[in-house]
Amino acid sequence: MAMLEVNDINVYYGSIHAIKGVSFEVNEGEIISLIGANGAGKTTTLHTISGLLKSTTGSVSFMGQNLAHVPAHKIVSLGLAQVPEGRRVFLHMDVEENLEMGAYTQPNSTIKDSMELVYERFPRLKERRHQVAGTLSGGEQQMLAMGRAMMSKPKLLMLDEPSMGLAPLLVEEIFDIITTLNKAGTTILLVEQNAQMALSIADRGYVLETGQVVLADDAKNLLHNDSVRKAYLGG
Amino acid sequence: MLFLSNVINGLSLGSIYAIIALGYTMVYGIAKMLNFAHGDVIMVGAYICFFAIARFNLNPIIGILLAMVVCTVLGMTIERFAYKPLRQAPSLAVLITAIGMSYFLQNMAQLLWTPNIKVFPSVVGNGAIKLFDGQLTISYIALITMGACVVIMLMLSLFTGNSKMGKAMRACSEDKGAAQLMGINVNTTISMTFAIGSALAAIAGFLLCSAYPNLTPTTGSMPGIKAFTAAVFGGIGSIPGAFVGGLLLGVIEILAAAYISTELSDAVVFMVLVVVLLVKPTGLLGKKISEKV
Ligand SMILES: Nc1ncnc2c1ncn2[C@@H]1O[C@H](COP(=O)(O)OP(=O)(O)OP(=O)(O)O)[C@@H](O)[C@H]1O
Ligand SMILES: [Mg+2]
Repeated sequence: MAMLEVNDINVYYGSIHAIKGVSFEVNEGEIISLIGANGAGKTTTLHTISGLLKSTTGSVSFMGQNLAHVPAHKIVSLGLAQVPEGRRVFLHMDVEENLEMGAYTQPNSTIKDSMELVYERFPRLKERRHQVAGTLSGGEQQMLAMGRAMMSKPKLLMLDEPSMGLAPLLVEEIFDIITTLNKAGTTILLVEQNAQMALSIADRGYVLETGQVVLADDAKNLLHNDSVRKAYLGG
Repeated sequence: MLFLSNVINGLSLGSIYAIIALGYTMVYGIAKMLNFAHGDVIMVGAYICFFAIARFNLNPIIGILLAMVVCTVLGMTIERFAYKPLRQAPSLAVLITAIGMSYFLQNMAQLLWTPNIKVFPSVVGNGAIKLFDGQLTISYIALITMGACVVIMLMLSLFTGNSKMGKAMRACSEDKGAAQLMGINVNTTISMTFAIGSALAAIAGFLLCSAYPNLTPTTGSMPGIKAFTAAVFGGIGSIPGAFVGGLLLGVIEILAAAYISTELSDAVVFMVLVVVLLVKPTGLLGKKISEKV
């Protein structure tokens, strides 16, 4: 049984049918990339898994538990965290408070240790721990968003376009950290438009187009797939 | 000396505005709605104090605590049944519901307690401390009011700055979706905000009627509107803003009444508001950090 099973979900925004019968699965220990163009439905899919949106059909189950009736705020404590698109750190709070919010579901006694772990991965956050998040650079905000998600000690970490708006060097740094986290035991579901990078670190990938999965394969096959190369890798 | 005594009267009135404004600003900050029924919760709190103290001869402290409990339950009930079903509705629908709720509370008060004026008991008495050979007198109620305002302000700052629930409130006020991704229950947080605001309203009701003892079902509406103005003045959504806005509004109102004209004092207050908003649309302490993309 897969760790995360998304089975035939349909999601609407009013009359807009954004997700049309999407199914996929993530096994424990994998890095899975979900790629697709603007508006393909990647964010909608992640929000549905996190419980911010509800599917009208099918099911999402995590470690064997159906999430249909689990409210969004209870999903984190099951071990499923998301780094949302555009970071969405709490701009008026400082770095440390943002990390504390990430540990909202964790017992107080463990927060200090988790924070040290985050600072180990992102030394730059430690230097800025009393700085208000709104004054961090885009890259630092991305690190904070990732660190914040790590604070809940997720078994499965979902990242929505972590490379967005970052310089190439920083993108590599972020992707390095994603692989490190994975090696340390965190399963990863990675949403990206940067298909080259995303597929190069992934085990398997899914291609989403206008709300449907149009391709599913091993990441290295997708990297060499003609239609993927044309659409997402610039030929 | 007269000027100083006017300023002190202004600070005392402003303290009441500030306590009420905190309720408006916290609810706005988190639920992004203007709870126009807030002023009427003050009125209910004042009636509970009145009955507890004047009719049942309870200790005033017990009376205030009782009023706080009743108002807390009332505020949470209003949120649960009138506002929560409208979470996804357009803000105009919520605003109209809030105005409706305000009239509903006033009419309920008329039914239950009649529209006749009730004279609020003088718990604190008419005592005053005299300074500068009696040239400056400060009434006990003014001292208590200002003291209560400062204590409330300090406690709220500690709460939002240091407690887990308080930080969750700040997170919700910035981004409810992200807060949910952290595992914060947004509904509980909103409900808690109404609870705190309403408990403060009960205190404000007691202080207001101790200073101005004529209690009627519409007692809460004018101070409610003034306090709302104070919240906007200071920067709606900002807790220190409500404090500063409330105090300034009280001082401006009393000084305008003393040196310009009693009839025009409200007009002056709203003029100042207009000028402040023209110069700084987010209010005195309102802030906006732009999002990085
Ligand atoms: N709040 C909303 N209201 C209405 N339609 C929406 C809303 N959010 C998304 N949509 C629509 O749903 C579809 C999928 O959007 P989604 O944000 O999931 O795409 P995406 O793959 O994440 O795109 P991007 O790469 O640009 O982030 C789009 O057609 C979009 O217009
Ligand atoms: Mg997206």
